[in-house]
Amino acid sequence: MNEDTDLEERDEDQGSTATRFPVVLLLDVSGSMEKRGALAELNKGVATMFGAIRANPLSHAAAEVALLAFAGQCATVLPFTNPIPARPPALLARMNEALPEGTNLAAAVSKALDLIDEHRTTLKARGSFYRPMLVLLTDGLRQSRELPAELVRATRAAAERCRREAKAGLLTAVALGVGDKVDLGALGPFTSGHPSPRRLGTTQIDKLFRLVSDMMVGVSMGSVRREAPLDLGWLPES
Amino acid sequence: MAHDEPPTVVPTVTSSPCLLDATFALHPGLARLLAAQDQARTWKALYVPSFVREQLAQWASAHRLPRVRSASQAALEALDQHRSLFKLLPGPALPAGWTGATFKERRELRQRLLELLADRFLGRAPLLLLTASTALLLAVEERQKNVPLSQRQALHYGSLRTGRTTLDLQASWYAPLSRPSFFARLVRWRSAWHDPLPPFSLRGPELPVPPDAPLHHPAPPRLGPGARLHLLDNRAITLGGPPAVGGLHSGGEGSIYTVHEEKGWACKLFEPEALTANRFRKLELMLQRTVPDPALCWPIALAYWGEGSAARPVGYVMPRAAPHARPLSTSLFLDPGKFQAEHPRWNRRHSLALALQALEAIVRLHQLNVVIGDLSPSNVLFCPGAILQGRLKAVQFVDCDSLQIENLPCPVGTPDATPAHLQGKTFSRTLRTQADDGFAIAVLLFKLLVPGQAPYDHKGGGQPEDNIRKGLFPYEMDDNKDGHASLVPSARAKYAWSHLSRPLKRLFVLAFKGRKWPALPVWIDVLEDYRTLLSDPSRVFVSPIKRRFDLNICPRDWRAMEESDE
Repeated sequence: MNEDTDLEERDEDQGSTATRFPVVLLLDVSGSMEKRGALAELNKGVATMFGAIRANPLSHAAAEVALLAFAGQCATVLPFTNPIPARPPALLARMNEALPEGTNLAAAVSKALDLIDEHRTTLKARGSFYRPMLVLLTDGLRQSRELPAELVRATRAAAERCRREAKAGLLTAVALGVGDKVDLGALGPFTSGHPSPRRLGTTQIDKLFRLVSDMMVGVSMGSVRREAPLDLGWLPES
Repeated sequence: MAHDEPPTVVPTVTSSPCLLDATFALHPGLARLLAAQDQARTWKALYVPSFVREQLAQWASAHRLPRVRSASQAALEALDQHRSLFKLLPGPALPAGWTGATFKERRELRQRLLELLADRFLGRAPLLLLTASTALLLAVEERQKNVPLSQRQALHYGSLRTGRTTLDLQASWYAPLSRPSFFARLVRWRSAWHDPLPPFSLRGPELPVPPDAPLHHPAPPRLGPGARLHLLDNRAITLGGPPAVGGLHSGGEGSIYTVHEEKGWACKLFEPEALTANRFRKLELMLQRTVPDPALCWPIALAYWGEGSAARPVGYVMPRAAPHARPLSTSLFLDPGKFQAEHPRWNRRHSLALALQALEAIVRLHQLNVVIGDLSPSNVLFCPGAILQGRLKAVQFVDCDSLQIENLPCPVGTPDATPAHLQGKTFSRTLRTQADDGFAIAVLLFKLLVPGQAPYDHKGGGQPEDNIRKGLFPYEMDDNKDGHASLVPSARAKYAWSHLSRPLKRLFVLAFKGRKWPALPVWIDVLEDYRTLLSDPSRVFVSPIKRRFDLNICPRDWRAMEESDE
């Protein structure tokens, strides 16, 4: 046995043996979200969720949450973190920060998938991990005829990759549209099929985050069926 | 404690004759106990089988371990000194070449003792069996089970613990219980107390699960702290807050609350959607038996909500878990390093004591023909302080309403503790077997001794259930040789595995590679042997000495093996 690897492993050995559960929150922070007051709700929701996860010792040890904010581009607000911090960083608001206007879903989803891919190597070395989950929340996806052709192509490619990886069992993806204008049909390719994309109002964001944290607690305690982990039956499908 | 110090308490079992087993005699407290008896003469009679004395003589002269040699010598001297206290029970002499140190011989000795017990005591006379062997205790229990109810006599087990001057007494599960207990007081309106404890009927999995349906229309409201409920005898209870048990007090099916009126009780309220006919059928069935087992939070009575004819059962009351009890899942299993830091005196021997106590409770459940089903580490509670002090009754099983009883299934399951052939099944419609529990038991023991590590986790692994289906167990008998040893997920696991005894490793390999789940007595035998091995100071260390067994639960290095290692 190589002494060096042994020493490296010893450092890794500190900490819990919990099976990690990685979740990426891919959140739209574009100007329209800010205008409808959704950004404040998102910040509140993430804080509620972090609190609930930390309240249970099992999910506190198991949960790994990454926060990505996107508008015209995508920025990492919090890389995969375990244990998650007591006070979540505030989501970038487009107005004050460097993110350009727009809703570049292609860049956002690609970045999230890259992040999961990259993290998978670390996870595999730990012996076991729960299937990573991608939660996408946006209000900006319009009919494709409103968008430049290049962006449409990139979006289609990102959706294709997302569907392929979900089909291969590499991740579970859930997509939610905020407000009435989102084309849920166009969000469909960004999910793993069940549950299908749902529409939600600004005031329902908090409840969504509570459900996500309940699900994470359930999975880390081993009491939730992971084939249908998130119950979105209370939200309309069109 | 010095040996010449006068004993503070003399054991007071006066109605039963006592029988001495060789394992008990090795305890340094024997001389003290006999001396106290010589003065007080409270025992009716003390019997020593002739082969037990012979065994002690044999060990005193030729046992491999100096510690056992001197202990046997001391026991013989103590017995000789108080010769007038006991009667020697004659029996055939031990065969030539007997060492008393092999598995086979120990089993043979146990068999002899059993024959003697069956011949002279079980079903004939009350008995206090003095023994330190759990394996013997279980074998006697198995025999006692076959004695017709009408003939059963009081049977107690006595054991000694280091640093204590009293005898620890434990009543047989299958004997008529004589001492009034805490539970008898609690359940005074039930007459079942003095009835013997018949096992449930064991239905085969071929029998259909009865169809389930919601119990109430409409469902009662979601209740919480402060809610007033009442029991069948019209006693009212008020729910308090959630008890602090390692941060886990609610699961998918219900939440636990304290009860204002009774400090020793807890009340489980089911979620409205979990109030189904089968759940209450099972609770009714469980309430037909009063199980006076401190290791089980067995239901005491149903709790009703509403008045008069509108009263509807919404949960049940049960004994409350010990205040310092913590689930395995949030303590020892979750972060062994942190657990070790919180309990610096905790070592591998304590983990073994914990394992053995848990196994004994499982044996008792299996004797009742119960299938555990969801043997999740969140449902196994233990008191670290009690284990450190060497106390019995330090392990408790909670969530007893999820047990599978007769043809009423255990509706929940934890993926990590579910064998491959049951993965993905709908548990509320699947009857499991005690053999299926074998998998969860093996996983639990592995996680206790290779702290927190699931057996099938390996480098490159994925979801826990996929790992179980794939069945790659990366640990090898010989740590340095081929196989999958390089896939062991952490150095902590690798080192901990290397400090297990070879028979124990063999058993784990048989279980997880061969998928043959060892019977409970086999586990107990091998774990007891390992515990004996670890109580030999010449074979263990706490700071590294090569070739010895590390007592730390998270060893920092391999155990270097010898060619002659057995």
